[in-house]
Amino acid sequence: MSQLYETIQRIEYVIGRRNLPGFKTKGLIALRAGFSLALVDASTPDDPAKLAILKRAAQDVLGENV
Amino acid sequence: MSIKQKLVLGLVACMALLAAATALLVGVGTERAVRLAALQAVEAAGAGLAATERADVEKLDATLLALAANPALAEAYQARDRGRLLAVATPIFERLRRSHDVTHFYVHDPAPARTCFVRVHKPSEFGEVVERATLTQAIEKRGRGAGKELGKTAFALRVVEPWLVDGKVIGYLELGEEVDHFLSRLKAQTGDDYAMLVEKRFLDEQAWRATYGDRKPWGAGEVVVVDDTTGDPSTLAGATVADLPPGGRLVDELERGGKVLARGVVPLKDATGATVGGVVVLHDITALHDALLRVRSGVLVMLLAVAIVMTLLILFLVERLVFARLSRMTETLEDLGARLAGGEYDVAARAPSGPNDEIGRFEEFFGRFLTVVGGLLKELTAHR
Repeated sequence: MSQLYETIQRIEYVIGRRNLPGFKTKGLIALRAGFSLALVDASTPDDPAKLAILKRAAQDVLGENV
Repeated sequence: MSIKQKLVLGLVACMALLAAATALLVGVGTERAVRLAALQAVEAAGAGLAATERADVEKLDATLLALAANPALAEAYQARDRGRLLAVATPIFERLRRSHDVTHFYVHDPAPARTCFVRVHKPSEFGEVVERATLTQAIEKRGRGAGKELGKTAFALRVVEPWLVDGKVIGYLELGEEVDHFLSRLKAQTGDDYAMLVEKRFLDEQAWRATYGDRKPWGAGEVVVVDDTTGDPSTLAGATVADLPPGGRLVDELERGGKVLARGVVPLKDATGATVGGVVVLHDITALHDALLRVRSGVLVMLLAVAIVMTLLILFLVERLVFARLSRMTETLEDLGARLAGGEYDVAARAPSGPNDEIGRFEEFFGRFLTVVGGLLKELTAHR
């Protein structure tokens, strides 16, 4: 499982835990990250740059580290 | 700076410009109205002066006709008895002087002699040939000759009538009055102030100085003040009589003792029709001036109020019709865009729909666009 996909799983966990609107929250993170989270799956190869951007976007939108 | 701020600034600038331009126009219009009214007052004063002169000419003429019908006067004159003529005429002249401002009473011999047979007002002087224009008019027209005539120092209104006995001209009768009292009488009628100016070239300086001394100073300049009801010589400063139009000329507006006065000059003509000076007219236009200023202030206040109301109305309409809807549309599209990016592909159903105007059509277009993009992403995701 790629770290990218794993990070998205953690994001979905936080969204579920905090009962946030799923599509909108993920969309806001995707808009900040610059790519669609829905197109990332377990086989998507890791990209350190994309991963860093995704974590920063999640931090900005969710207000916590994932 | 936002579009809304730019729009507000632009609107305020436009309204300020419009208000300034209108204020300028109102100001110019007010000044013109005041000048026009002042000029009309000056022209009316000139007409009043002429009317007063006409009335006095009629008065003197009627008196002359009565004198011509006096058989005692005619008999004395036809007998060439100067003493008897004076004995009959002097009491009549004294009454005329006391009651009607008559200052001159002559009997002239007929043409071609044109000699002064008797001066009832100055019996010691007689016998000279009279060349005055009014006598010439009476001889040539075999009727009335009338008008203002300058002497060496005085300006008198004279009326001459042929003295007819049994249809034959036996001589000429002349009555005259100094014009000084004209202005005080005119002032009593109109409330305006007047000053009569005569060009010095028509007068004899030595005779003037000898007659009037300091009472009516000869002074500097091209004109001398013959009569003045203003009581303030400074009000005559700068009033010139050169090149006066027939109806007179408005010189300026003066402020004296809390009053606004229109100052003008109308031509002063002698019996030959030649302009020999001018009459300065001071007409009180305080009420008119104040009324027009009040109108101008009212217009400016109204204009300011309309500009403010119009600005607020335009801003309200633009805010309501454009900016509020753009704001709502932006919020909605940000929300839908985020949902779409987050994987909710059927967001088109949530797309806003508004009235069929410019913004409404854009919202509709964007809704259709989201439908297509959402459908495309759904297909792509399904085929992975």
